[in-house]
Amino acid sequence: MTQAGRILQMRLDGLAEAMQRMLLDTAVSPVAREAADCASALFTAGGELLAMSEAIPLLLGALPGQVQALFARYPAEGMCEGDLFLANDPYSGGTHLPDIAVMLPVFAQGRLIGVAASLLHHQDIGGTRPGSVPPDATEIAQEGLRLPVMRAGADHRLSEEMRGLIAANSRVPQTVLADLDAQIAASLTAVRGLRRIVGDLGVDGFLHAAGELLDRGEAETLAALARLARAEARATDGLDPDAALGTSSVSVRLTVTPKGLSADFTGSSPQVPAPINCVASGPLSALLYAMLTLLPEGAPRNGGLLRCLRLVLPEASVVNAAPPAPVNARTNMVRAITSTVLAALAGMDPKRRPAANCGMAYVIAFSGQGPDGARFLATEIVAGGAGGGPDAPGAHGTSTDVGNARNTPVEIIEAELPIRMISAERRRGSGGAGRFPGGDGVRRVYEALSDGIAVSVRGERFQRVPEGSAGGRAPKPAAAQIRRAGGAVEILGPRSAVVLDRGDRLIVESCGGAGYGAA
Amino acid sequence: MTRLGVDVGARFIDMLAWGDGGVIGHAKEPVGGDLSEDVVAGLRGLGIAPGALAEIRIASTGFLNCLHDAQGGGLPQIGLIASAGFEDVAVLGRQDRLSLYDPVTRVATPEHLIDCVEGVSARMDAGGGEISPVDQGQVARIAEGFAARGITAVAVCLLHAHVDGRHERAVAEALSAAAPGLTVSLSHRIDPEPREFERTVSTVLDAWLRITALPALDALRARLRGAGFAGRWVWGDGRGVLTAAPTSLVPLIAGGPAASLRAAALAAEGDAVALDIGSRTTDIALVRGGAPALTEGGVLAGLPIRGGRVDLESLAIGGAQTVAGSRHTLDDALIAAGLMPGQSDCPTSEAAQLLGVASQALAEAITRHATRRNTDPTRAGLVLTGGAGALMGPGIAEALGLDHVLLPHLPAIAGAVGLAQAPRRSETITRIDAALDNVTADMLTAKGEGTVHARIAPRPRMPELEVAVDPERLDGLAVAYHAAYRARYAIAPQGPGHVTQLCTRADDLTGALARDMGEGEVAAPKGWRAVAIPGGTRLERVGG
Repeated sequence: MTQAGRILQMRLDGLAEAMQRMLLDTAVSPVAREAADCASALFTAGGELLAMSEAIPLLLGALPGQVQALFARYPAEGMCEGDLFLANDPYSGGTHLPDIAVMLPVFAQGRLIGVAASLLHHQDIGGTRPGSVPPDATEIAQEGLRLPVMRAGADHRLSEEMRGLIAANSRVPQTVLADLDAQIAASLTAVRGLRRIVGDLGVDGFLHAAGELLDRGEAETLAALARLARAEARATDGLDPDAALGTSSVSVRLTVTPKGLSADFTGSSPQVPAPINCVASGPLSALLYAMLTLLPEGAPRNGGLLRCLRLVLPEASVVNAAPPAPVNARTNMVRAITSTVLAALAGMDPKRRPAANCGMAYVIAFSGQGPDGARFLATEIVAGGAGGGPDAPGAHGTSTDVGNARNTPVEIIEAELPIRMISAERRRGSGGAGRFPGGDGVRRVYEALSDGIAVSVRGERFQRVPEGSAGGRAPKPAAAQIRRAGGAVEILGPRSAVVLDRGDRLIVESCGGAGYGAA
Repeated sequence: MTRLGVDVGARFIDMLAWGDGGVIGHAKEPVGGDLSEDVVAGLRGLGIAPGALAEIRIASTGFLNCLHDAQGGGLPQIGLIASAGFEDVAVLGRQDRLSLYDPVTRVATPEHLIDCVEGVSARMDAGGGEISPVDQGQVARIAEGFAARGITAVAVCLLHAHVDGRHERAVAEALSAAAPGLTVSLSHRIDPEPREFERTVSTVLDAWLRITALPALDALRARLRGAGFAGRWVWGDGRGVLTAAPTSLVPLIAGGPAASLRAAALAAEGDAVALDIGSRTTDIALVRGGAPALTEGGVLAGLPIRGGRVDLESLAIGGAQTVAGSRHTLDDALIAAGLMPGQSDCPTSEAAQLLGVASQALAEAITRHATRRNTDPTRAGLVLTGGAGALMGPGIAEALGLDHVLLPHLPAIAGAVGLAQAPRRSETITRIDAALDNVTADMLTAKGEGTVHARIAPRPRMPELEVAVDPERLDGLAVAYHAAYRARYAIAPQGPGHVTQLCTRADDLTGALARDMGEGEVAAPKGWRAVAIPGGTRLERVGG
């Protein structure tokens, strides 16, 4: 790649990262501001991924589908400067309903030069339960307001009609509208930044160079795939067995072809009438992340990579759900897909890779009425342990693979919710044993300070845990329970909806990472 | 009146003395075994007695170098006291990782600075209400345990201490009673802001630096006082300003680099990248509008460090560092290439190769730093300082495809120059924690000399913006905040506004060395010509 090309790609990467910082600076809800459950990226005027922020890969991988849906419905020639588009429909490029994409076409000298896009997990978008993540949903209509991609404003502002629609459907409208404004602020950062770049290169120079970057990204990806030691591998993983749903499995066959990488998920379980399904953005996020781990330092990370990816997704399956399947608790299915893909890739990659990460995260939503009568709603994300090896023990309580959410500080939780944290610790001994042990999971204990706090707990790896590598051992599975103030104990499963009264405690323990090498 | 700027580096102490008439003299004193002796020797060389100095302005890259060294272990560690149940805050961090696409998960925490963590049962709620009091006996037992382990410094970071620090103060008293002489750093004094991990990092750093980097500087001060120095002693901090009595050592970590980068910025023409090449590290910052860009925090020396400072990146590349797996250092190569006086057994051919590798690595770092801030380094200026800055300039310029570089006055002692030119900043901070509408004139008055600034967030616990306050026109604060927010974020604030502090600030340039030092004086290396410019020297490639 030429020096000018490298500089342009790095500037674009930096600009996507500036968008992300803007999101974190201006987002209001703790799940975005503290946990960083949001992502930003830049796209070409043709809708190809141009640059990504250093955000949660789980969300980054969802943006290309949203932008494709945008161009499918609104051809570039009909877009105007100042246009603003929204979407959250899982069945047209999205993820689950709380993740709303804001997309803003960027113009310079009257010409469309790209699209700035961001995705942010909003605190509530309606549905049967606060937080819009009902663990008992059996169809998507129960999960909240569904927005196919639509023009939602002009002059870089959300229209009053759209504000009214969202306000009428959310339990915390002011929070959602404020977070949407944060996404607009991020987009406007991109507008300013892209115009600065165009000021240096000219519109034609920029558009030409952007095309070359994508070509280079494609070439680097093909070269990285050609370096793999094996051209084919298979793996299977899945969620914990469920008495009602059975076992939801993910199967993948990765094959390197002259045109790139084929990921065939044939054999994965059919979709279920529970919200654990994911749509096509899930496998795309997993593959995008996995392939990015193959690229050498300095290679452009852009949509050139996606040109090399062919997904084969069985219709109406847990990895590619069809309407009206519910999808709100999709996160752990995407984690399972990622674990499966990484396991297959480990068999193809000549480099020594660490043992498997925990492959799960808790997503916990608290809601209720505060002492002042105002409704509160907050989500926090709890990571597990990283896999050990190949040269050091695994990290404790750290977001891994397609996750990169931060924890929510105890001081923020206690200041904003009627919750007292009793502890937040390493769950010692939960990482798999080995020469390089897996990182420990986390143990967090929450105590309710008022009655009627509704809690939604979504986790995974309660039974099915990853194997160790090279003689290392498996980690301890996750566990969760309620200890009532009166002493009764209730064991929780992977998807639970409970109500805490004053003095009740919720205890979550995340899974550790797998161990590497015989101890 | 004679003043002295002292920038303590890893191998050299840069010193600059000046008076009302300008520069009196400067020196680059090699670091020996005793910092105090070295500085006294430097002063002797300048013909200045300590008693003749009205002021000493000091900064040290020793803070940063110590942190780089700590990654390798072998340095003393501290004790940490946390709220019981939350002893792992320093290890767990914020749960995110350093590099997204590295299959090996790596995190940035201060764990390597900590020998032992103990929890105390004292607990407060978010409003500062006491849930359980300090158990003096428990703290005394912890102090004994620390003493048995040879721990001499302790960081105390209890939940919600930023709201009310009385538990931390009680813990400190109990520690002192049980183990007199223990150095104790309290989080509510070091970094009185919410979020326990970030505050823990600050407090651990303060305690750790007090037993690693600070003692030599304290000894120097005592030695100079003993030798008759009765003037003012001020520190250069990470923002590039001078402070008399810092509560925390954390702002001083980047004091040395910030002073150099501030001096470099004066030679910049428009947007530029400033590069200070020292013995141990090279520091990079972007310059806009004649000053280094600032940041509110980020990763420095492998740690997420909160607080305002120059937006700099510190690399482990320097004159005393070996290059590309060779046993030879960068200085060895510069000597062998005839660019630096001295003795070297590095073969000439290897020297050329090593200099090429180092130049390329620095060009890469410049590119990475500038592009992340949406600046094309091939279109921006490049300002070089530090012992090897001028010598490496042509090679780096070549690697970047530039036909010129800029050197400020006295580039080899830029840190001392930056200190000499910096303002003394006095700040009085009043924490108020009030809704914007409830800020009253009573809160704004009688806070000392200087301009008043308010820190305001849209809602509590969101990131804050600093807004200048006109005490006479308080009703204009909301309007000023809206304008500042829109200018920064391009949207209206998403809340009514919450004020967390008022700061009365005065920058005093009395006695500072004039920024206009005339034209530059650097000689040109072969193939380049030196053109004197107002801020220093412009080196132009001959035929470029």
